[in-house]
Amino acid sequence: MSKAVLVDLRRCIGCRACQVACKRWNDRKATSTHMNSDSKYEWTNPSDFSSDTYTYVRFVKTGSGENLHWSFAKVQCNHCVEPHCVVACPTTALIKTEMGPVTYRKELCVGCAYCVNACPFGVPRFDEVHKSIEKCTFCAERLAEGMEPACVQSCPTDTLVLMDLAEARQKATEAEEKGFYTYGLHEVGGTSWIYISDVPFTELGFLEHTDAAPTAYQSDMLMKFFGTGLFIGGAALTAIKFYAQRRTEVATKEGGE
Amino acid sequence: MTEITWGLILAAELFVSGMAGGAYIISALADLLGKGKYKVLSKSGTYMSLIFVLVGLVLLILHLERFTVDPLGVVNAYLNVPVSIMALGTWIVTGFIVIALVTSVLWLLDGIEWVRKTVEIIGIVLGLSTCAYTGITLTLARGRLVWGSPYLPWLFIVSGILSGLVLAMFMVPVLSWFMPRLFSEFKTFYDNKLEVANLFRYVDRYVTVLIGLEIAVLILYVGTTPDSNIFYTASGLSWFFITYIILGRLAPIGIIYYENKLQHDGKENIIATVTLVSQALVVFGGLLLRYVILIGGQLAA
Repeated sequence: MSKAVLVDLRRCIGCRACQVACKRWNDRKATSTHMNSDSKYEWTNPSDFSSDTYTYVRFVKTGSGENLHWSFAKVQCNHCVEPHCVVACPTTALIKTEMGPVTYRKELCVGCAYCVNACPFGVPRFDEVHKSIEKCTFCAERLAEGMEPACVQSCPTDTLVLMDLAEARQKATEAEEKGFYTYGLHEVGGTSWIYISDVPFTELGFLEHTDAAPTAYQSDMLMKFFGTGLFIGGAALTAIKFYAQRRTEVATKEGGE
Repeated sequence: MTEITWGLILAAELFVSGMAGGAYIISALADLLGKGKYKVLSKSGTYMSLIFVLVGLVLLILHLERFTVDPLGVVNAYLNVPVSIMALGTWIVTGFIVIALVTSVLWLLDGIEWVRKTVEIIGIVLGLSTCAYTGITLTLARGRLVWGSPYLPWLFIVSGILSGLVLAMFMVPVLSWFMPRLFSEFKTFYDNKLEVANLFRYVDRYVTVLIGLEIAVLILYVGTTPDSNIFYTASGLSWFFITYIILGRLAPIGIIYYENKLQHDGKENIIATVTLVSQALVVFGGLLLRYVILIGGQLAA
């Protein structure tokens, strides 16, 4: 049964317990961080993923003065149902497991970083020391033992809840019907981390993705590639035809003279 | 997310691989359709395609820094059904290396003509695929929206053929200077200044057409892709873009125009030297184009 995490951002208090739990469970070292240079997100620290930061909480200020509102959004690998990174990986180092996590086998990684460029969410990061990628693994080894991911277990407000994918999708759909915003139901063909929020996700710095899963995206792009080829090839052949015609005309003229 | 994971080494790899594919396509077409008139161009193009595709392979291994941790790790790319475009590209390049090697041996041994021409037909398909895969790899990288255009692979194909044509021509005198014994045929050809000038002028026409086509595809690409203004607005990168346009594409056209004047004035003996300068600029421009697109795509995201 495929697992999912329902992230109900309406409950998040920005305590960052998930950040700490992730670091501890995955044995990621502490790194020197800085406040975010964008004033809207200035309390977000660390400000981005790195090979030692699999997850972080985005602190978002919306409005100002008396209407100032704080929103918090934990971000990590969304564990797409059909992941772009898995399709891109030339060595099948990245895999989508039946339980839902998108994990990677370091021994197969060649360090091409294609997944870094293929991920629509900008999640995988290149580890310069080990020359391979790093990202959230959904604590696949904990899931396999029937445990919750470290971040989920540490969450004091039940913002993060582990459940079956079908159930998470059902709850998010119900929230959507009640007028709340959701993320992960439709984006890039659906993800295993599904969000509910009372603030639009564009306000929270989430990328807008309305397009399809990788196979559909890639076949669409390849069809366009061949289609434009007919256009460019046609234009090139027409240019060559006119050029040849012109040469013949010039040669005939010069021969006549 | 502006993490730059693909830099100059990969830009150079994409460039030399595309140029190798282009050089092979040109040399094979010259052999298949040229009625024996462009033998020197065909030989030079074939040898260069082999050398440069191997250079590309070395650059790729250097780019895959994992090589330092796991030297044989790159073999993993061959062990699975190539679902990923990058794995498919690995097979295409490998096939292309074999075909370029076989064609080079057949040229060196003056082997059976129909065998060589049959191999060349297969090689054209693989050469074209080599040029195309470098662009398709970027186009299918969903995380970088600036690369997500069907025009990008065509830009790389046209640019690869342009650079390959120029490389094949450029290397005729270079090989005859550095290895006159091995390439005595090239030396004999290059010593005949009139013949060289005629061939260079002939090639220049195609160079002009290909530059025009490349600029047209570039306009289509930049004009239809979101955030593509990064190429000429990003600090530092814009200078590379401007240099590519001015020095890599407009200057060679200017030089070709100047060559026509030289021919008109009867100064055939210096046409070859001037042409070599324009050819070097075209090759330089091709490298700059890959660099600008590669870095720009990562900055824009």
